[in-house]
Amino acid sequence: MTPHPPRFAESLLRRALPPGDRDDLLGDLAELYAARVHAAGRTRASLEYWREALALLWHARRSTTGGASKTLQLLTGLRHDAAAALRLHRRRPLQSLTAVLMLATAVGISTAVLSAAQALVFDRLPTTDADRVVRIDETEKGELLRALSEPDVQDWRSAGHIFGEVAAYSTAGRALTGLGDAERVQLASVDADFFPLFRVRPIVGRLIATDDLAEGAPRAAVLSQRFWQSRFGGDPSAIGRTLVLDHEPYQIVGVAPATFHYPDDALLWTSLRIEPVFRGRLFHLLTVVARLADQATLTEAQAAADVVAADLARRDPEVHRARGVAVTLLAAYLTRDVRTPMHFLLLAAALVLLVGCINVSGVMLVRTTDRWRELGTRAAIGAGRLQLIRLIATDVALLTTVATGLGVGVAVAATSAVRRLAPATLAAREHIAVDREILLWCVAMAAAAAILTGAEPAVRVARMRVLEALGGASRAITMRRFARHALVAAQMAGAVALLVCSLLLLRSFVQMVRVDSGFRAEGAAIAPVRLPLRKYPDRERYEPLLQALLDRAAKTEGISAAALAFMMPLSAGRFVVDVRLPEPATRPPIEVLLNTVSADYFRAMQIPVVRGRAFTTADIRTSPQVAVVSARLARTLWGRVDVVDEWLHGGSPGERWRVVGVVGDVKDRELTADPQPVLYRAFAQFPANFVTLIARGERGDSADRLAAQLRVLIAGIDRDIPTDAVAPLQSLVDAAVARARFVTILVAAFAAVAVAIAVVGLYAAISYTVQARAPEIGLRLALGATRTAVVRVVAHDVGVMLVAGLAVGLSAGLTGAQAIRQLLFDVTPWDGTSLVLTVVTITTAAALGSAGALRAALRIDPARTLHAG
Amino acid sequence: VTRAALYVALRRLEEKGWLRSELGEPTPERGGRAKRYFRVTPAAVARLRRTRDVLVDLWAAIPQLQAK
Repeated sequence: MTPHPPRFAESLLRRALPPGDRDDLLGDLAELYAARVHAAGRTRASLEYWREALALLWHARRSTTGGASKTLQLLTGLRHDAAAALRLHRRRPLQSLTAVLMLATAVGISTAVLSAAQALVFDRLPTTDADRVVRIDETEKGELLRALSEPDVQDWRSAGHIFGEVAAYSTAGRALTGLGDAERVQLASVDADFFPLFRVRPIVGRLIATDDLAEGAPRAAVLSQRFWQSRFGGDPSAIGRTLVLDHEPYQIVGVAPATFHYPDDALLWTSLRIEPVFRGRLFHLLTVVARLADQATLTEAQAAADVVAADLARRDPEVHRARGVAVTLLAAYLTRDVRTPMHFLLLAAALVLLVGCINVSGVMLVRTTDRWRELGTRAAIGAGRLQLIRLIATDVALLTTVATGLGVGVAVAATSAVRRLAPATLAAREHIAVDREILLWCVAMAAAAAILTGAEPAVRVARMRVLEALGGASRAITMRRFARHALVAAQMAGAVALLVCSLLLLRSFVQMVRVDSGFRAEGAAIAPVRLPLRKYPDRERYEPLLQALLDRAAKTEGISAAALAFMMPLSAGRFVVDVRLPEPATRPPIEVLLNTVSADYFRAMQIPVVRGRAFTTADIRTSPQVAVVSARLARTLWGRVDVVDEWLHGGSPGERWRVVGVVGDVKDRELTADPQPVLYRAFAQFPANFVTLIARGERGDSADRLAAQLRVLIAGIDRDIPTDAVAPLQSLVDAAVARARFVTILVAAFAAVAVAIAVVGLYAAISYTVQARAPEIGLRLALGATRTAVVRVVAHDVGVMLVAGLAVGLSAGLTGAQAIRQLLFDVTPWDGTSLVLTVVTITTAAALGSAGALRAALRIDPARTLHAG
Repeated sequence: VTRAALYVALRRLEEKGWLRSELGEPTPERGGRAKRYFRVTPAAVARLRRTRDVLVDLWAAIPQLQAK
């Protein structure tokens, strides 16, 4: 079939061309179009067609004498209107430029932030119907607890009717070897219901099936599209090949689509296998997701879950005492930590857009007043009302078109800036891109504002009395003073509200960075070392290797202290244990974090030893079992810090340790949370195969150099240990404040833009007020008014706007601060410093804005203004 | 030269009588539209010849240009 040329272009041509020429010209173009489609594709051909059509239209218009079509008349008229508008812009270039730039910035910034919000909140969701998928978690005393055990999952499966598919998975990092350098990959082990639950179909091969889970079946792996591309170049022959993860072979069976990356941006999914020893109810290893059955609501699901939980507690009171079950929407769970900041940013974006639009409104008001006499003249010499309205409409359209065009550019630039600012730990970071729908929405918003502001002058024009208009512009201006002042005050209010919130976040961020983590992060590097049990099945195999690594590290030049630790501060992963005093009656047991560390740990981390001693190399497997406790543990259990030589019971029955030292508290999970009590055991007495190697450098040694040295050391003991996660110790602290930093920077950037827009708007408004009052000021000066009096006149205007703007803005800002309370650390929403700083900043901005206008006012020549008046 | 300019030029030449045109058969690849064939009229050929002669004479009348 022959492709049809663009219909709209063709119909325009058909209308414009004289009947005699119409057929053959259209025929030529159609033939040419067909040839171009064949040679260069449809898009290219259509573009060319439009270009030719427009050229023909242009010529047709020029050569037509009379009888031109209505469309053409309209086009010509618009061209004249546009030319008139352009003339105006040229007369007041600064005003037009600022309006365009401000609107462009507002549209661009808002688009960027809203797009980021979109990416962070929505792209995390594994399915489009994530509101039908829930997580099932155990709770203890109302707090979300750990994952579920294998028998639990079976219970949920049999809970039946309320859930559709129920799937279980667990996540892990594994060493990938045999494909270039050893690399740590994040993967999820999933059961056969996992992919069907999310309605995922493979793009190549197949997904995990029930047969893969059977005893003795080869373990199967499904690749993410990302992994397939980066490691196999998207080669379909990857299917059937073998991947080695922690020295265990996995057969690649298929590839999942790029849109699916649940959980946590997984690179791989493997078939779930639970070793028989871990199948009891004590081992909480699995995360459970379920699809709600058709018609079932979340409330019903929770109610049904409560029934199952009650049944479990009855059957097995020992394990399930005080435990419940929480059914959470997956969507809500996945976005829990970005929700508050993003809602706030959405609000902030709306505010910036509003401020930008108000600014354009202000400019439009001023312009119409400006043009009043011109419009009057046009009316007097016979222009119809419709023509005048069209004149204004064209002006608005021109302004918005240019501004939104620029806005798109700003949006693209700002979005890539946001992406670069986003913390690397943010899973959805790569998905941040300009969202077309949001861009359209912002542009529509700006256009709506422009149309609304254009409508007001248009109505005024429609009611214009020609003679009055010819009489002078001053009347029109006095009519509008209130409106203009209100607009400026509104702009200021927006800026004030944003400034209050961003100062609060900034102060909170500073507090957070200042928090004492309990260890010294600078000048040290860390390397996670994980020795797979398949290659090193027991402590006899892995302990000597780790000891050798430690010895080599300690002897390396530039390293002053080297240590191994099972867990690191400010990291995910918890290992808890119950401990108690020897006399159980005195105090109930408490839950503490358990860490196992080698002799030099406290020196390497620079955690102070408050009482007693740290571990030494004399604390070996066969020597008496010893423990070091954190100050908080000592205080919680004994009510004092000096607990050296006390005995501590816990873990398995009969297990007890003598406390040899007390050390300072460290922030175990978050900088903003209170430190938990920690029990440290000597590595030689309680070794682990999964550790972190810490190296403290000698004075002046950079952490990056240390990291490089650690990589060499690790490769020296086993090439199959991935070294891609070796990093400065500081990276733990950086990661902990990354989210706060991201939010703070975004909001601060927003506030800066809003304040800048408001200040420019203020300046424009004030200078226009002064200009409009020039005759009056001239008269006052002529009648002998002092300069002080003139200053007072202008200051009064500014003062009124300032007070109104501050009052509205501060109350809005405080409301916003309440909303972001959750994000604030160690700063109250009523923080005096932030409020005072805001008032000072805005007042200074207003003063600066009016200074220029004042200077102009004082230069007014009384004689000239009196003449003009 | 744009296509549009070409069309305009052709039509003006036709108005002045230097070209004659007729429509051919409609074809499907042209969307069922006819093609216009142009023919130069004898008067146009005569005029072209005259114009050429005048131009050549004109050039001949200009003395040899010499660069100094």
